[in-house]
Amino acid sequence: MPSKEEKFMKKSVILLTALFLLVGLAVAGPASAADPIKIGILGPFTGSLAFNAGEMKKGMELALDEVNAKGGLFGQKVEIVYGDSECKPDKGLAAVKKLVTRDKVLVVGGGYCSSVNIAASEFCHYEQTPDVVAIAISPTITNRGYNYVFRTSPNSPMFLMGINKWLADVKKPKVVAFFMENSDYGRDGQKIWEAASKKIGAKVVANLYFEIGDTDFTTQISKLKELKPDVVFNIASTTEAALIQKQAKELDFVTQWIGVGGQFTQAYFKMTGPISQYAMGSSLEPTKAMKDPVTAAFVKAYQAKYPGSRPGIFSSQGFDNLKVILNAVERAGKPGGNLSKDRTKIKDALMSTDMKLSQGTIKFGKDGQVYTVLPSVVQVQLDKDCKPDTQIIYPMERAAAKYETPKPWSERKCK
Amino acid sequence: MLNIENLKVAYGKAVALHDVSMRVEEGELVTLLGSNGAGKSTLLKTISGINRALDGRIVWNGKEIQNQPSHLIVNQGIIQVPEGRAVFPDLTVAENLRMGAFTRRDEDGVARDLKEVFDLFPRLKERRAQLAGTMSGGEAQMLAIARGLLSNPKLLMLDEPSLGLAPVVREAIYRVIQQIYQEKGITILLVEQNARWALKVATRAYILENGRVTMEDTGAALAANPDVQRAYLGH
Amino acid sequence: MDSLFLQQVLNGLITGSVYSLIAIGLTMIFGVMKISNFAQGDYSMVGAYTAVFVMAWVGGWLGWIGSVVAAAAVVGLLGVVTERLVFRPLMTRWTDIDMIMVSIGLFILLDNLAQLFFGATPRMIGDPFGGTTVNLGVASTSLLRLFCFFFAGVTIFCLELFLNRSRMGVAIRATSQNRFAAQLMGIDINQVYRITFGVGALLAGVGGVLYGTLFAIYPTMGALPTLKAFAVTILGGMGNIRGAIWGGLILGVAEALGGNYIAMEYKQAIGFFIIILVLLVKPSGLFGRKEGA
Ligand SMILES: Nc1ncnc2c1ncn2[C@@H]1O[C@H](COP(=O)(O)OP(=O)(O)OP(=O)(O)O)[C@@H](O)[C@H]1O
Ligand SMILES: [Mg+2]
Repeated sequence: MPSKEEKFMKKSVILLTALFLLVGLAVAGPASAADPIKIGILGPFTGSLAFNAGEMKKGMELALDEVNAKGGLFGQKVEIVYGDSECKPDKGLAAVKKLVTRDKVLVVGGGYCSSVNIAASEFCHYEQTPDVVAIAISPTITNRGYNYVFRTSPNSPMFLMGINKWLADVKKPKVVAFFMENSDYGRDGQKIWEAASKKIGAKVVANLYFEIGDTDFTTQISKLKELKPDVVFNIASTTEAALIQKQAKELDFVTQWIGVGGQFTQAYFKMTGPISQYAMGSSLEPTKAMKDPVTAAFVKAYQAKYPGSRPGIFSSQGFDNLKVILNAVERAGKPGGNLSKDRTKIKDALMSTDMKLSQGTIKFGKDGQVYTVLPSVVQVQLDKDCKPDTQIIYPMERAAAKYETPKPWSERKCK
Repeated sequence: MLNIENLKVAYGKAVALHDVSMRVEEGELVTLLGSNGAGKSTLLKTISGINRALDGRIVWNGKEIQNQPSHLIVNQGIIQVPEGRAVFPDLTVAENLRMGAFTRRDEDGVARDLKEVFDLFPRLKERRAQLAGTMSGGEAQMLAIARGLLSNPKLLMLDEPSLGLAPVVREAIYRVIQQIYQEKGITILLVEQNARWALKVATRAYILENGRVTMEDTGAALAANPDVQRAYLGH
Repeated sequence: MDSLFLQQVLNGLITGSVYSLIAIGLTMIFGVMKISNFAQGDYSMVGAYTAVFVMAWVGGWLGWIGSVVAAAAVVGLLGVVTERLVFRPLMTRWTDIDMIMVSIGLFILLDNLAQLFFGATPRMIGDPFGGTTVNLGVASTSLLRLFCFFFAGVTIFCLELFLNRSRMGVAIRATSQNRFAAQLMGIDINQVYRITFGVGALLAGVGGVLYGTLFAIYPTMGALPTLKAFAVTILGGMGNIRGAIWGGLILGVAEALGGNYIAMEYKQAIGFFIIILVLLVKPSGLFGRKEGA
């Protein structure tokens, strides 16, 4: 027989549990102010991509600070409402629904995770709410004719254009294999690279998928080792990509790893150390493009706000994303209070965006895709102290280093 | 030695023992009779500290012990051999016996008792390394009793030791119980279905019905009582 | 048998040995206390972070072995504390489902605390053996992976010694087989709970160091091992320690071979498919006794 106290105790434990759940969600929750301009930001703030989403968030908060330091927009404070997608389409859809219908944000930004954004952008389109995707490379997001959907980052064909040229002109592999996450990100990348491989006459010997969040890749790597491909296209996020490098070493497997490029974060290099040497990808690393004054200014401001840290691609993409959104909100004029009219005005303003930001010039095509931000081909190389970092190796005019062919593990100096 | 005074025990709202009083003196063999569901096992479990007493006292050699944790009660020499044997099926016979001696620190005493127990049940000695779960019902009952003896009991409480055993095996168990009582001089509180035998060996006996003690007398007197004969002896 | 087959068996055994280690703790706690502890993987997470700190402090192979010992101590203590403060006060009065909710609450709490204190960024433990690889003729692997396998084996061996030879170990087994009878033996049931939880958590902690060494360390890393441990526990029979040992190895090898010969993308699913098969044929698990025993 549960007594009254027991029932009370039970209730309080359940309440406590709920509370901790909320604490988890509230990690991303901001404080509210009177009548602010609300921007919704979607991202995988918990789960295996949380740290990358955190980088994006840091970039956004920098942009937010800049605008609020100047008194906000139209004398109103700008506020970000974060929605956690956990990189799962159902969670992302629920989060974006809440942002659009409950929080009544003017614009949805952020993103990350193609599968989430394909679903979320469709919802935004039908709700006539501008959705400006910051990070996610599936072409689907912007190729369905949804005029409320924009993207401030390159899509996968653009991301891979440089690498494809490099493969055709420089590497010319005979045998290639695919090893990618089982998601839109993985599948889209696979399609593009498979077509590119066909074009240069390379034979595809394996198409291996893994699930996001997997940690044990020894099965796949052992199989790859048996097949001996010249190049393995590895479409994976930071943690998985780092684990794959580590386990490849443990199983003594050498190949030219090529990824999309998003995996090369500070966290990645911290995890892999010199193991990631020779891995390749595309990059929009702001710190690699310091010749550009706008990019350099961003890096400086970022390091002033976050001493001791270096902005990566996600920080810079997040920064640019919010900048583009704020710029459109400003050009659309002071919100009149009719949410759907305000949103439409912002959508129209977004279409005529023309800004020079940390990633380059941002102008949208008719489909809402930015075509003016183009990544370079990078390879992880080691400095004298065995510290890994990406270096631009292609196209030649931008190259800061020469391509290095992967050496067997036993011949590598850095352990 | 053991005095139970006005004991009340319930499972939730269902009262299983109402105001039960009884006693066991040193050197006695007291039988507790009662039909199914009368509350016999509940009484033993409460003495052993498994069930909570809502009211009343259990006094052991002058000290109240109701609602003490079970391991402290075992420590004082009140040992129960439970209904349905309850041997540890995935432990060997030897390990089961070792668990019987769990609270004891006198290694020599344990070794001596182990030898005595093996004399009493030679079968167990042969099967030392066998898993208890693979033994027959009679063997398991012998193991359960042997395990109880290794706890060095001052009071041994046996809950229906012959339940479900073939007649021959049952006879063997009876002989062992009498031997324990007479030769070792261990005080026994016996719950038994076979009233004829249980009343014959008992110094005194209680009859428990619906959670109340309805009769109390010497074994012989109760065996001669017509009501008892009708209800428990099948006359 | 080609060498790829043997290589995959070796890969599966190494991963599986860590599954076993984490699952044994889970199955012990279930066997003795009938609690399905969803926070088991989070004990592993705490163990893994212990290793991060010890490695940063000492480093090298000595630091790594020290990590295993430190994690055993830290997480064992954490197990004892959570048992006393969270599980025991509620155990006798609450239903099994309530206890599952409580353990899920604990799991969320530990996840969030880890996120708060350590941040979301994943970490890896550098190879204390300098990346030495070992060629076993038919298959090859790194010295580090072999050491993980070895440590899992040693830990399981020590556990078996404890459970079979020590008085308390046998009492723990006895309690998991029949709690009531164990109480009648004079076994202090609360002490058994405390030690079971401590040892169960300790195993998860050691498993966590190995898991973190083989893979990566981040606040939510415990979810996957928890899932695997439950799968292993069901496969081997709930509460059955030997079942958990073999179940972990079987799951590891099945995943590796299934991934290699059937389809990589179903690697996880294959393990669970085997479990369903086993349960259809033998509902009490591979090593389970008949129901009601
Ligand atoms: N764990 C329990 N929960 C609820 N009720 C119980 C429990 N155990 C026993 N009872 C009830 O308490 C009463 C006494 O049961 P108890 O087992 O003590 O009887 P008994 O005299 O030992 O019977 P038997 O001869 O069948 O062993 C019965 O009505 C029984 O249904
Ligand atoms: Mg009974």
